[in-house]
Amino acid sequence: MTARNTYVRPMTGWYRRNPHFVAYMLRELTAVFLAAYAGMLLAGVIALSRGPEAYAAFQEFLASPLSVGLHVLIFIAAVYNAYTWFRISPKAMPPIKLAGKRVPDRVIVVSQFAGCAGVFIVMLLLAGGL
Amino acid sequence: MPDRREIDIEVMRYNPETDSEPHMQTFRVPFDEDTSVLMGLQYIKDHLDGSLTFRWSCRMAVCGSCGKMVNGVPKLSCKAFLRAYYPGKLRIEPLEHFPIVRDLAVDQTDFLEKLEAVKPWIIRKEEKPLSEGTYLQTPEEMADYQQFSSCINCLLCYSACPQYGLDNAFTGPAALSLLHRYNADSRDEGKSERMPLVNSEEGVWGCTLVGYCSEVCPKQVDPAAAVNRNKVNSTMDYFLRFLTPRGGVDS
Amino acid sequence: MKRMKRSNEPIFWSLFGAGGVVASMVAPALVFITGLALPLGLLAPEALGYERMRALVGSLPGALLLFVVISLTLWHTMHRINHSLHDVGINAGLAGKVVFYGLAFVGTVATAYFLFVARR
Repeated sequence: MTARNTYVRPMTGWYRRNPHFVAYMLRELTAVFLAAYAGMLLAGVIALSRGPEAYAAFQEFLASPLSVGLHVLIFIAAVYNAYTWFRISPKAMPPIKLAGKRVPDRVIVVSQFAGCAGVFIVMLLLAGGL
Repeated sequence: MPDRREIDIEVMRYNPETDSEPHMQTFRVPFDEDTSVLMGLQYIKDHLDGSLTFRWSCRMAVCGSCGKMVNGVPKLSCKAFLRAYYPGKLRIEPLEHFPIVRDLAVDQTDFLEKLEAVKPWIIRKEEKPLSEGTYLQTPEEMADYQQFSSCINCLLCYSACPQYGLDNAFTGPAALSLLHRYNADSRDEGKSERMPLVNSEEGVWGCTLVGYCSEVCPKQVDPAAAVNRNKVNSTMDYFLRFLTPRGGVDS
Repeated sequence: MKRMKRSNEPIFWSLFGAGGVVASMVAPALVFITGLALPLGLLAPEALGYERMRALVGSLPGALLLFVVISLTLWHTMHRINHSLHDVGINAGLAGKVVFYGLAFVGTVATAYFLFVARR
């Protein structure tokens, strides 16, 4: 390299410079809430393995205002994560071809949203019904 | 002339011989419906300050020379128009994540080395003699790589990529798109020569799918898709090498 | 040209990807049911009561579903958090991998163990 006196700009605070980067960081932040939820489910399984009293205590915690507040945040994070995941997923999969023609990204995105809505309805029916 | 307005253009200045860091300088530039950002800069150079340094060539979004940060967004300055920013003002900076040589001109050496490293040409195990004619390809085979061949090396995607900014060992969007363009070409037989780069930490694994590269690309190359499809390829290569005798790179 | 070192990222990226599919497809519904619908009275308390959950865990598909959801969500989120450190300028390197993938591994083992105990 030539000994040019070039200037390199710092990266500090790059994620605040552009709305796209803010959205990206929020997407990455959803991981903290989803990890908390995985921990919550694991706590439920542990309670279940310890018997009815432990499980009742777990259910009591779930009904507390603290838990409801936390789950509101987790729910927002889960929905935002799903939204970003479905929208970007065509970029991370090999092109899908039907009858020699590439399925448009839009079709892949929309069918995932539909699938997620279907899962939502089926799981609600399974939990509430019977 | 009914349509003759004026707009303030704030330009980043840096003189490597006298300055320790860049500063901003504002110029007032007349414009009309047809004045591109590049023409605004040319007006400054021709009429206000001849020392303003910037790159440009074709003026019609083909050569990829005139990329700048316009109000923080990487753009081809010939393809952006002053009218879109009026009555606000413009802040023009050199492309992000590259060292500034002078004013709006950046040092592209790092990208050029990366471009060469992906071997962006058709590799044949054995060249066919001319007498046997050209390498044929169906329209479907061409469709597999065509969008990735539209890259004009304008570097907007590198300026849109925080991962490249954070660690410029990352090969980056355009070079990986061109790598994919040749790997996906039915006439090419050089995939095994390019996979070691794809598989490396400096290859596709520096990417966290921010996705902004695809948004700023002026040629709809969709570099994020090229990079992330190669994460799938690299993952297959990683696990399949245990199953195939040649280490999987040709799979 | 210098010799490129193969990254082991495919292992973690495939777990991250599988976890991303699971998290995006079922997490919204699951969070709504367990964390909101039940406490707010939109579902009867017995819906996720002790007996019913024992039956769910007791069935092999139910136990597998819970195992997959919990463990893959952990791998998904730990991968993201590890990369986010780099994004905000903290270069944890190998230590980050050990801590976050270690957590995901411990969580996976714990989920398997406690599901096994709960099934007895």
